[in-house]
Amino acid sequence: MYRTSLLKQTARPSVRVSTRQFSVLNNQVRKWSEIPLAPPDKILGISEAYNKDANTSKINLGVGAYRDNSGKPIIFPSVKEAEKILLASEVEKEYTGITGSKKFQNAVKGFVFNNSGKDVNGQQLIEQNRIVTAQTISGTGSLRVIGDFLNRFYTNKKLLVPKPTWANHVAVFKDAGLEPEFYAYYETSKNDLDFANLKKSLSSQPDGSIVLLHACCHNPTGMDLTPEQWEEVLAIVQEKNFYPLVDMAYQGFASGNPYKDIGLIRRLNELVVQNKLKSYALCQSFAKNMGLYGERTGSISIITESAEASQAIESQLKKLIRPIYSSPPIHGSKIVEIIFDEQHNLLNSWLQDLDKVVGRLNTVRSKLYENLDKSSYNWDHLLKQRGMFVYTGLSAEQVIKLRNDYSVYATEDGRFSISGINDNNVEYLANAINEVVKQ
Amino acid sequence: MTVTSKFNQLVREEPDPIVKTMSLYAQDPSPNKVDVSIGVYKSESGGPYLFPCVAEAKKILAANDPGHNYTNMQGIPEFLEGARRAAFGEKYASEGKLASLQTISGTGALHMAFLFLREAGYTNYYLGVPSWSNYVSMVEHVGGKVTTFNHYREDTKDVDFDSVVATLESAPADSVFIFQTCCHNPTGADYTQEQWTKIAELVKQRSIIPLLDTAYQGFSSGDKEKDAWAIRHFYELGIEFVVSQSFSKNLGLYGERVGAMHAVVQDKEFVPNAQSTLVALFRSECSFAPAFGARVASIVFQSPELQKVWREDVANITKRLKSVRQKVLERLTKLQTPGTWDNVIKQEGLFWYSGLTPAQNDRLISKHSVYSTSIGRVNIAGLSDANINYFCDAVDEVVRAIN
Ligand SMILES: Cc1ncc(COP(=O)(O)O)c(C=O)c1O
Ligand SMILES: Cc1ncc(COP(=O)(O)O)c(C=O)c1O
Repeated sequence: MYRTSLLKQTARPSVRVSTRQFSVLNNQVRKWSEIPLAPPDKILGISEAYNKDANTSKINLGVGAYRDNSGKPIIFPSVKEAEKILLASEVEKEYTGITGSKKFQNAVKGFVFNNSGKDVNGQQLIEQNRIVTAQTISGTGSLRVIGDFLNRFYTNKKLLVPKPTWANHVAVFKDAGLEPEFYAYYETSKNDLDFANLKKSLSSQPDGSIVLLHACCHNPTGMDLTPEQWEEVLAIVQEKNFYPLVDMAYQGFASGNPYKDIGLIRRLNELVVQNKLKSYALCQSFAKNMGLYGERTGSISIITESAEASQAIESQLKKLIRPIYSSPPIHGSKIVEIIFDEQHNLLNSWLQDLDKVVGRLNTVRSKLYENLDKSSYNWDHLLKQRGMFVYTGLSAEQVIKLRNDYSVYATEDGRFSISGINDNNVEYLANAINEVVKQ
Repeated sequence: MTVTSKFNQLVREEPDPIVKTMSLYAQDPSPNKVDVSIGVYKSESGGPYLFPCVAEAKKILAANDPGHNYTNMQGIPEFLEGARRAAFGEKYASEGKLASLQTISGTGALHMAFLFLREAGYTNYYLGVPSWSNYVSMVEHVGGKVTTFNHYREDTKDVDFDSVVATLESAPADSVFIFQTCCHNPTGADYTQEQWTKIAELVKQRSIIPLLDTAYQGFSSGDKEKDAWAIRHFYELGIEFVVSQSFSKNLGLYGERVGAMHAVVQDKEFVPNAQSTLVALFRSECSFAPAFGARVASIVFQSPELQKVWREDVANITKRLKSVRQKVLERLTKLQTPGTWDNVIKQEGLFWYSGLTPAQNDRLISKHSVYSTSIGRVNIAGLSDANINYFCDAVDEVVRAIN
């Protein structure tokens, strides 16, 4: 038996009260035939409706995965090559460690924190054993693990997330026992960041809160902070003694180069080295930037105060993960290991593959912009946004009209996945939007 | 500015004991060292074993590369279909009474089962001990409570069935009982069909919810169908229960994390409720289960030829395990090692619950470089013709030295 000597034992809830609205925890039921139907996932609902639509011009703008110009999913050529190497050499499938292999952990550390040798602060933190990295079940799993971890060991439950944010953030953190609350981020009527209110709402929150920051390509708005704005936010973080939790699901999709998209991380490392910040955490996913979606490959990293703290935190992470799923899946993580292993010379081809993907997204973005009617609506925000999405600013009504009249399927918050757009349908889409906006 | 420590209450946790054992083994320079600790099947030559059906399925998958896209939140349909058939049999799998979810292997299946049961209002657990070391922390992790009873009698080195019956008779209604369907970890002591029949009777009578954990299906009888007898019997009797299923061992897919959870809902009308609840719960844990291993398994499930190869693989493994057990007994008998050892051939699966004491186990490590777990659980698959005699001689020595 795996016994513990946990000091903060009392802080751990013995029974978590479910936050899910259909929870029946408090009024016990007879057998599970009385569990009510859970609401379906919105995006999946859209895909289903799309699949049933007979209109040959139909467009699906709900997908969260990349598609090429012909509307097909792609396999990154570098990933395919790495997989070939893996399949040719793999002779068994035995368990990896609870937090993944050292090789994977080091690959992530070198890639994200050390910026492949170009970040002195990150390098120092790695050398001082102040970064604990664990492989997780992609980005979602890393958010969940850090949620559980903070719920157990951090002094505050309050977690601030931008409004709007990725649809699943609130559910994941609530389920982990934290108390998510929104901070101002975006002004829908102006289709722009609302930076003044962002600062104001963060400043009004209690000291020591956890604050979730999107590293780049904010989902769903695509609107990121400038380095100067980050500076102001990080000043508030220090002043209020917030705990920064960074979610990085789209590293590389802002600039086309993953090493350029980690400005926030580099700045945080600097603050830690300067002892202005004790600790922060990063949730990272290879789902999008390697196209490894279904293989569930990602990580959680916690930057700690000391090598001793790292040991304690690592042991607690293991203790936390063991009763959830024992160990993470190896296929995707071995592909990642191979890509970062110098002997295979694949890193550059991966960077090129990724750049090409992002290049297409940006081309499509400008083409859409070109074809939109600027006389009835200001579309300039499109050009400021980054990543896989266009946050149109269209109302739910307009989105529904697009669906009903033009077979254009998107979520009602007006977020369009660029993946669904290509040379063949961009004009049809722009025309549909123009018509709907005019009305 | 001054900043206070965010996590200063944290202390360093002891590693899982088996992890410690494994790292000691790795550091041991002895050429004779024997690893019989972690529950992973080893080939006759002592190396890792890739199932021939899996090797073939991997080739087929590579030739028809489906890429790495997001799958279904419920799981890959062909995988779930095959998983249901493996556990419940062709007929019951297709009756529409199952809500199923692809999970992060068997551990993830158990975790989802615990969450699902909590969602339905059940948090009171019963567990026969000794048992797999992860159950208790897993239940506690989701806020449940575990009461233990004896699964095993040290004197008869067999199932303590009186204790099972007495506990079933006295546990409050709506308690969840965790049972392992076959190849009990760590004791290797399974229930007979008569005993399962009695258990099922009591489960019905007393409104108990069984959670059947099946991590070694096929390794008991060598026949996956036979080893699923309890699951099918419970189903037949109209019991509502949960199954957690792992393909780590019986397809050798350990690190790929391939498993499933099934809830048997006898009133079909409510299957969608259970199903949607599972998906909603899973979405805030990790969204999707990993694709690769499940795709490999699906290819095996769907191909009649590979199914056949799989059946043979499992039968061969079981045959080897049984022959190793026989040889251990023969050697210990020949050595006239003090004590009775026929439990080694009575027990099923990967493990021999040897009855060696912690002190004897320590000596096995320190004097003989034989690494088993501190509770005396020996992974039979770690033995082969090359080291059976060495191993048995070591056991003989420690038994004579410490008693
Ligand atoms: C902001 C954000 N975080 C995390 C994730 C998690 O993705 P995954 O679990 O597939 O890595 C996503 C996926 O869409 C996302 O948009
Ligand atoms: C009894 C039992 N249940 C479940 C498991 C889960 O294993 P996995 O998560 O690798 O499928 C194991 C593994 O050792 C086990 O022994």
